[in-house]
Amino acid sequence: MKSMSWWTSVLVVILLAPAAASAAQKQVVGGVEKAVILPENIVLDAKVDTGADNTSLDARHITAIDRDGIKMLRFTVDTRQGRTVTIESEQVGIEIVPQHDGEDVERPLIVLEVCLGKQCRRTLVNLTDRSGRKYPLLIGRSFMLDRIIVDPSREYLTGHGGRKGSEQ
Amino acid sequence: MKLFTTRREMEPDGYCARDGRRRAARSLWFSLLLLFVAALTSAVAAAEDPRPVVGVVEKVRIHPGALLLPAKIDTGADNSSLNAADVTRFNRAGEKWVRFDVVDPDGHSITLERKLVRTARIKRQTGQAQRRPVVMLGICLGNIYREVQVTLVDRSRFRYPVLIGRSFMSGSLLVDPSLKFTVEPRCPDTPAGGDERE
Repeated sequence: MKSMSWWTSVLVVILLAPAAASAAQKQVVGGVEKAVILPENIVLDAKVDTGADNTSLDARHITAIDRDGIKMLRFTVDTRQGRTVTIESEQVGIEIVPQHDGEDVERPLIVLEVCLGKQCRRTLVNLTDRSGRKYPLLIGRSFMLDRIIVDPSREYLTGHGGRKGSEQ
Repeated sequence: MKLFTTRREMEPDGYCARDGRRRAARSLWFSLLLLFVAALTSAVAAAEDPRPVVGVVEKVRIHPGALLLPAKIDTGADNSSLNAADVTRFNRAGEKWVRFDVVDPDGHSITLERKLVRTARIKRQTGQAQRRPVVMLGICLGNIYREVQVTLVDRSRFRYPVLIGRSFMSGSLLVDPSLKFTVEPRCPDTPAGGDERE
């Protein structure tokens, strides 16, 4: 009985430490990673871009449709693995992206569930044509929040596969 | 390792109540201490990495000229770029040079002349690609000093006149996009003087 409190305190620490640690834990990712869009489970090569406000997705054939008064956007995503996925998502806004030559471009904003490594969250995504670019997806700061640190000299630190489910 | 004495185990049972309270208080303090250490050591996943972590915006010094400018630290950019005005190309001793003005946030302007390294094609969303001059400049970020290729562009519409790209970072630092202005530029290796400026 008398030595019980010592072990009790050790047990308490073992049980609570992960909670305390994960509350402050940041994930280190590379400059390029595999990211997953849920629930369609689309795995894409993504550039991790601290210079971008929001996440940006290569989307084609974007059309606006009305679903019971809600403005939806229908578009296709090329998985770059022989598959094309059609997604319908509510438009939540417009992002204005300044360009060098003085003309701003406007991109529609939606919300998608995106996973990068152990972190999955719903995040703002702007739709654009990235057909001429190497990466179909750009992960922006609004996804990273204060949960991610970027090592731009490395790639695929979170592995090469996709991850189902949510684990925040 | 014994952290507590075992003296109480030899005391008669009659004193258990008071010792029980002291014991509980001590084990509570110990739990909190271990919890604090656990949280601290895993607070940042990059704790074992000796490389510095900088924020998404930092003050840098540009050399020659030692101009202090705020810079966006952009892991999505290959190279660094600088807001330059009145960019003029000229020849000197058979080589191509560029003269340009750089302005700091206080309005202090300097004119630099640098040898042209190459011309870069800037990717654009619409229309033709822009061709911009690239020169070598020294950049100090934190205590890291590097001479890198910098593209001279018009960033007057952007918040920060300098963009630091991956070629500068090249394995020397990590970026935490939730932080800003975490370091002052303090580099011991910067070249003295600027015979390249007026």
